[in-house]
Amino acid sequence: MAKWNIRDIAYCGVIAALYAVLTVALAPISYGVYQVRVSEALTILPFLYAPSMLALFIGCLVANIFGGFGIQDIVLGSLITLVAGYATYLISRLKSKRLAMSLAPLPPVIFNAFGVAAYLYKITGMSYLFVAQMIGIGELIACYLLGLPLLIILNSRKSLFHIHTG
Amino acid sequence: MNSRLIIGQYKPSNSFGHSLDPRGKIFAVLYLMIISIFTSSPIFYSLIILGLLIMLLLSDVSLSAMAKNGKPFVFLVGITALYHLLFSARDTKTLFEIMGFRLTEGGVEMALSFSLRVLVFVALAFFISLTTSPSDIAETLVNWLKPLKRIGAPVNDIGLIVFIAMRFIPVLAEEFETIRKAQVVRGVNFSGGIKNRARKMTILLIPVFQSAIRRADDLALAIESRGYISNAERSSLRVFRFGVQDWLFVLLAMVITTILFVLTGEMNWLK
Repeated sequence: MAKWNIRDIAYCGVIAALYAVLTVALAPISYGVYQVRVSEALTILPFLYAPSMLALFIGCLVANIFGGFGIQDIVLGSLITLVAGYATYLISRLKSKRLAMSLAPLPPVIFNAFGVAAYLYKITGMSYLFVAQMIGIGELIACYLLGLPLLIILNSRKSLFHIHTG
Repeated sequence: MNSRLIIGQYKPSNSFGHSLDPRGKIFAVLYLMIISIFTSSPIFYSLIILGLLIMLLLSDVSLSAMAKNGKPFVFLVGITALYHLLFSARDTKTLFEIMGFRLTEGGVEMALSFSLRVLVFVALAFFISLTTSPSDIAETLVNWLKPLKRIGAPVNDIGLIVFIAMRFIPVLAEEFETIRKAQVVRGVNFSGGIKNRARKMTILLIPVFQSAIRRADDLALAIESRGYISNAERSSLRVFRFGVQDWLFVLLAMVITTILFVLTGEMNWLK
């Protein structure tokens, strides 16, 4: 595994805190079956900066500590965010940048809709597809309505944010 | 943005719940969560909720604090109940019919059972988050990741990231609030339709993100100047000790819930 430099660690810590702040502060709409987790807009970051996938994993882990679904949400929810972050990072390596950018917010939508629903439907007893659909809609709003514009802006101001894409 | 929401949940205390080792508490809660999935007995869920309520009261958590923290989940419990009343067990006995809507016996039972199950999960999460400091929970999880060191996972770095995140939550929450107020003063209206709100939220996210990155740069410099070594063994300010009361708590929690699980399983309405 590649060795991390101090800057990566500091960036990841602060991005994780930002994810947690955005989630917890908007708590009523950040947890449960009907959720629009505004912090999920940050899931586009691995597209520009690969180490941020770990930041999102930790941010989600910390945010879910405050949530209402306990350990499985803390562990599984954050692992799903990590996998989605990795998929977003892989999309960033596509040759067509235009296509890549439009697909970047898709992994968190898909992984959260089908992954989070897998344990949430067990708790609530609702149908799996219903829960997946509800979470998918919330994720679509967060990732495409908030995340995509954020990605376009950050992509055009890489130097401003000192993001190193290497 | 309400930063009190973040800081106000956990309150330090010397109560029984607070003094337990977080590893034992998390393990017991994990066991309860798993066992709760394998039953649908409303009696089991009611007894567990009652037990957790007593534990929370013994842990200096007031009823008003529980009500405040539980508010966001009222909607979720209500929706769960409504979903089952409307869509579940439609082929069971009709209790009554009003304006074409049939309330079935099975639907009521499932509504009761699953809303209680959601309440159990919420109460368990409360027991952990209201009696354990977030840094203790994070440290426990990082401790449990330690075996991954053998496959080369940067566990120390992950630990440091978790602690930076914990430290920066109140700082960034305050920053977010300041920037939001500044935008409001400049005439930004955060109300309106979803599309408008999303657009305004992006306007808010950019300066917050930029500010966070600036802080990260300063932090990196500070860590570097203190000679941080990535792979070196790190010590912790607080060393956890798993004492007799922790063993007793875990064993009693497991034994009592298993007995309840078996006994109420025989009375299960939804076999």
